Amino acid sequence: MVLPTISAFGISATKWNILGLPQYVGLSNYFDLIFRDPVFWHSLWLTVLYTLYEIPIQLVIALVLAIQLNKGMAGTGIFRTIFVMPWITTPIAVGLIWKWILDPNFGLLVKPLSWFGIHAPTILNSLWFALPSIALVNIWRFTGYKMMLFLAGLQSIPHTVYEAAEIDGANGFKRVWYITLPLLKPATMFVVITSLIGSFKIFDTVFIMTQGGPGDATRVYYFYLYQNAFEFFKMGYASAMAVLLFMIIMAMTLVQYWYFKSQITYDLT
Amino acid sequence: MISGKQRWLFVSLFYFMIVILAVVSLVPLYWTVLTAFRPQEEAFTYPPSFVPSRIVFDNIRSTWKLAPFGRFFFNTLVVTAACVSGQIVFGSLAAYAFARMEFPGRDFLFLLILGGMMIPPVITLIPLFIMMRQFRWIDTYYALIMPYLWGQPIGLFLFRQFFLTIPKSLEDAATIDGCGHLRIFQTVIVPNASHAFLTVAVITFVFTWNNFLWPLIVTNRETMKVLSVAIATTFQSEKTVLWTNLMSAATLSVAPLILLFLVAQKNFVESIQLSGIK
Repeated sequence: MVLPTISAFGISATKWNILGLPQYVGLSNYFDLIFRDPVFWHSLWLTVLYTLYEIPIQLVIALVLAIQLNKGMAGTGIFRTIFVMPWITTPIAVGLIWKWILDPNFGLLVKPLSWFGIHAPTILNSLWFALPSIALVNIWRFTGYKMMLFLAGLQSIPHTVYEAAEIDGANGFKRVWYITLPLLKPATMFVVITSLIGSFKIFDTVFIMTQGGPGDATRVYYFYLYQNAFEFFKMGYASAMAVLLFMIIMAMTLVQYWYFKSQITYDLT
Repeated sequence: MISGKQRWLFVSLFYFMIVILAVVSLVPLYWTVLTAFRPQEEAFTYPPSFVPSRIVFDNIRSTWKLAPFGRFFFNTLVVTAACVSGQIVFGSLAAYAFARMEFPGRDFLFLLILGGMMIPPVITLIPLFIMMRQFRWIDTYYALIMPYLWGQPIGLFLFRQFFLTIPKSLEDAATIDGCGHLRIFQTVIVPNASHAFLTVAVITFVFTWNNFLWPLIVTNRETMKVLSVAIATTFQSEKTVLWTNLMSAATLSVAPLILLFLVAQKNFVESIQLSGIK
């Protein structure tokens, strides 16, 4: 674990097409990435955009679902099972399944989409819809999982608090707003940060659904990194990208860590 | 206060929403299985029908013949079995050492491993790949298995959490009876934490079965591909492949996971809860 991590930093300071010998170039890979490579910035921007498409919708649905399922109504177990199933499914299969559903000729969704005025010859080949489609697919895939994380957080809130609130006359919305959400804050923070990290590492679904295309409309960060390393064989350059992503993710992880350290825990038991 | 009638309205509204979302979750999966098992021509009709006129195995059969599918399955099974056993054996032994044994630098080492959990795998991808090349392991099971054989830090972490909940008095009793560490591990820890073993096995299974990027870069030869890679490369690139074949391949590769999930649901739920909140 430690050794490869250090050597990644080493390789990032070289120019290396993997066949010959690595050639030391200092920080020039980083310089090229930041000042000379518009595709790098484009891929970073796409990743941010993708995050904005995916995370808010996904987390809101997951949270609402979790709050509902936590009420212990009939059939909760079955619904939980159903919602988690997309998450178990192999990501590559998920991408393929949705490609079939969005197929321009026979896809299940193509006719219904045309009712809403979306007539792109193929959804995944359109500059506008390709990235949101991938985001949508991953919303489908991860919402159930995020719901489970929220549920775990909800279950740690003792019933007595709610009972007390009920006696005080708090209605359903007030209970959610003044009790559930504040007490769920640590869980929410955890889910948000891990989701952010996850969306920066999105790769499988892009690989199978669009290969970064059309043009480079879905060439997200991780996919560009993969291409540099294993299609263009620019090992040093790709390693520099990996180091930068590493720093982004570490920064997010540290924010999470600090948050939990500073968090005052309300011991309610 | 909300009246009884209003409350009833809210409850049914939410019920309705949940049912809709459940349908959205299930339909793509159902559609996949349907495409795989219905007569070929039915898959391409409009308007789409959701009930097959009859169930056929033609698509599955032709998919199996299109590519060395059996081989892909075998490769995936070998790799998954190896990684799961590695994680179980090394993960649990290491976790026992961290949970119960006293040795110099223990806490520091454990912190190091916890730190390893935080390191995103992206940073080790290229160095590990270069290592595999230098060992001449590309296109071998070694490359597919070795980086994962010693287990992921998350597995060790879960094991340790479970082991710490086992009362120490049980082990003290075993020590008085003259048991060594290995014996304690066998007779006290394993039976009391059988649940933990199943949980870690299940999540490692899913992780390995679904892993894609690593097998993609360390295998080129057709005969060494695992299912996920084969589906993404071999099947997709063939011009003659129909959607019915692709959906059959997807069904075949996902079926073991869904079965495992339905059988060991409790373990999945628990692993999510444990990995989630602290």
